[in-house]
Amino acid sequence: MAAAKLTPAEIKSRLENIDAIYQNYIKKIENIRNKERDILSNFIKKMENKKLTEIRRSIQSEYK
Amino acid sequence: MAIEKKIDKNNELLDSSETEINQAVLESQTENKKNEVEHNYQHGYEILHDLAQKAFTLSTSEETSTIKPEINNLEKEAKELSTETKEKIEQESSESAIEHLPNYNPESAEAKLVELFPASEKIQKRFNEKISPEMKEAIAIVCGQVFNKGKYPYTLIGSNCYIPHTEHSEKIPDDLDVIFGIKDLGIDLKDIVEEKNPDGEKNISRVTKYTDGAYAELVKLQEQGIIKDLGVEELRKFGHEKNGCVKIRCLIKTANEWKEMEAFAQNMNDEVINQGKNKNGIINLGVEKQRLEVIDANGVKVNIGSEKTAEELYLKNTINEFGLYNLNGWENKGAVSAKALQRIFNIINLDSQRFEDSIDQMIENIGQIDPPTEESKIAQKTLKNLWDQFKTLPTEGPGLVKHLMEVNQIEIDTDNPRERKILSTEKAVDIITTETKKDMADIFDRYQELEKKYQEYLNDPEKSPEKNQATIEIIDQEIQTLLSIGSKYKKYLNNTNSADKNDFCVYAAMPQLRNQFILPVITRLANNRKNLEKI
Repeated sequence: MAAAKLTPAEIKSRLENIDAIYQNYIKKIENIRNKERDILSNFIKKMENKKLTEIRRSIQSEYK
Repeated sequence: MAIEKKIDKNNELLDSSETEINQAVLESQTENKKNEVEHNYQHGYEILHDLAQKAFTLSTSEETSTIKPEINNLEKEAKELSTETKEKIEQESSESAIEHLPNYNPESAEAKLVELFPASEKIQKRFNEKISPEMKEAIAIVCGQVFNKGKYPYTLIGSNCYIPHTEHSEKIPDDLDVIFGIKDLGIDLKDIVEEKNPDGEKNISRVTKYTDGAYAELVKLQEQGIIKDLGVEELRKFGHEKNGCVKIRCLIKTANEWKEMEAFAQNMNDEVINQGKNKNGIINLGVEKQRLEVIDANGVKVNIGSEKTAEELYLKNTINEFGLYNLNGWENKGAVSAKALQRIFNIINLDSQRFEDSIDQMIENIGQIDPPTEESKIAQKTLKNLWDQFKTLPTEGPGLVKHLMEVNQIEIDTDNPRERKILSTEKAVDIITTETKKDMADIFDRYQELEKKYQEYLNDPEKSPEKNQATIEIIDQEIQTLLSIGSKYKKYLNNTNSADKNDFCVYAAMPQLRNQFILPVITRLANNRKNLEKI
């Protein structure tokens, strides 16, 4: 495991690698965040609809 | 010096300036990109956190539980992705590339389970600053002169691996732990013989024959006076049957003192596969992600476990120790590791954890250990019950950690509130670990003594009302002592403030100790007493 100074060509290649790693991260994290957002949004929609139905029901029973 | 023209996507010259390509550019680009990853992760987390709060206020906890596991899993995935990305970026900035150890085939299936990468500047800096000069000297000696000569990778574990992965900790490692592959040991297990110690009943192990390997290198160091008290011991599962692994112990001479080392020669892939178990990697770290970082200790390249490796090891320790944190555990294992509490604290204090709210994550991660074991199920259930119970406690009051710091007159010297909180919790966990460890040992010793006396009286051919009464009185006395120990912990519990999530690390021991350790002993003593009354 010897240490060696990086040559300019190696540094350039490392910079390109870093960019590729970052772009890959952005793609993957967006995918995860979208999944999380979809689950939560659908859940909120479901809960709001449930609440709305409950309100409707209580109004109906109130005014019967 | 290479000169790079600035070009845009269409390969056209943007301006006449030229950028030097050098190490400084690489370092600054590494920092920028790592910050962007962190910022991106945090930003996403905050947006989703708000959305999750909205979702949870609209629903009951039962409804929430239908989506919570999936959300938690995705969040864990996101966090791991961000940590791994930062590590990969850091790896690219390192001046030297890791050359795989030349002694094993990096293309082999088991070698691929182990990943070696250079430690980041942050980890190296912490290692330099937080590990004492004597410890660094000891590490450099054994790694440089023994383990770096092995054919297979090894790693430092324990506090020398934990400390570099935490921002705040006052722990100072006083011994060093190493894991390495048994194929590098150089001793055939049949050549380790157990003999009776001449001046006692305890067995001692002696090596009758050895070949080239770690043990032979240590023998050479002992002959040179660099180490002393070299000993080996075959390990046993829960103190019973041998498990094929060997522990080497010795003291290493440094400028000012002797440092203790324990090195564990673990089963490797072949041995484990032969036992019909799952893949094991090139060394048996007991973890899935065998990621090792290479740091520099006094000029010697040394492998330490990565943060992920440390986290997985602490999770497994928590399972083994907290799953048995009761009277049955003590009886089966011969002792209970009071360190279970320290493991919980260590997990949530690692860099990538959110100290204040990572208990849920820890409990969930225990459930994801593959394959699940009886112990992991018990530990998860126990910790979950304790956590649920903790959340129902008052959100006012001094707080358990604060109370213990005041009672023990300990002050943390820092202006940073987060640092104070973490260091206070670390101290309080240490205090309660020591206290519970002593109480459990004393209770168990006295209980065994009383049980012996009770049995002796039952077998006594010359029973008398006086002897009977005397035995009952000793039992009564012990029950009173146990009740007062129980009430001491109850008083501690009354100081818990559930708004301070760090109180949980200390709290977890108390209900468990009261209900699963002290109470069963009282019940057994009360039963004995009842039987004596009938005689």
